[in-house]
Amino acid sequence: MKKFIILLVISLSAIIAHAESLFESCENTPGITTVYVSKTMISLAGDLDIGSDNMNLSSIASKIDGIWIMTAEGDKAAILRNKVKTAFNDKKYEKLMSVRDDGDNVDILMATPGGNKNECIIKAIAETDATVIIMRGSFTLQDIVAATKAAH
Amino acid sequence: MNIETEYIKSLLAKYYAGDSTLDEERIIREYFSESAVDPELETDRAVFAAVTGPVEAPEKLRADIEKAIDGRAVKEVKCRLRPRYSRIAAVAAVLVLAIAASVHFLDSKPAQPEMTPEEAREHTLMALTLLTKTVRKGYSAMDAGAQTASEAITTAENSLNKL
Repeated sequence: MKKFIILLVISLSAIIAHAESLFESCENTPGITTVYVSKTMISLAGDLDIGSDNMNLSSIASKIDGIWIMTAEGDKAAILRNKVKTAFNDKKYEKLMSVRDDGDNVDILMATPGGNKNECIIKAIAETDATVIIMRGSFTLQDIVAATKAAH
Repeated sequence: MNIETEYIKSLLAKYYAGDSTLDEERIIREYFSESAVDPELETDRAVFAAVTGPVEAPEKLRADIEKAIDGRAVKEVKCRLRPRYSRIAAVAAVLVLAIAASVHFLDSKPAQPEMTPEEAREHTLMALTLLTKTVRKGYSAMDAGAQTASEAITTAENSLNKL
């Protein structure tokens, strides 16, 4: 009976470890900065007009349930790059856009986990820094394009 | 004086002193079981019979003893079950703790850090700006590509027309 209990606890621990997400993994990694902005904080953020680029992001911001940001610079950027390499290889993530410009690589992926919710991943990888942003909410691809076109 | 009677008296003296052997007690018992016993020893015979003879237990005593035995048997069964229940309770407690821990750690909501609305605005703007600028860059590249292709086609047409 004692052996069974020990085995059960070890199995559950393994399940717990496996279920750790990318964000949680980065939270526990020194050198990687993680930021989570909840829907409540986004709504408190107020008007999101950016004067210089004349972009109105309020319409899309109201549809975001949460933003997870992971950034790293210098040596730590390599750690984040390695973590991200396999994090979004699942078939459910569709690459919408990939931009390579002066050593900066930016990929935009999208997934639909279900329940009318979408997940947008922005991976911005450069030589000296790396940024990964995960946005989840009820925004659609059209909302993203509309927010982009508003700036033209 | 009967020699046998004197012998029995000596054995009785040893018996009352607690020094008699089992064989000597057997001899006394056999003597008193005979019908012909010296009258002097009749009293000793009655005493010896009362001490050594089988005694019928009172009926109430028998019932009390049986009741006590039954009660002890029930207590023993309960005591045997109690350790088993303790083990089961221990296993259940460990399982509940393990499940509670797994639910806690599997909760995908990260801990909300201390953040002001200004900081939330800054982070949200950064994320959305990166997204929209990247999309715009992609559209610009598409426009530039289309423009280049269009110019190339125009140049090719002009060249063909000259021919």
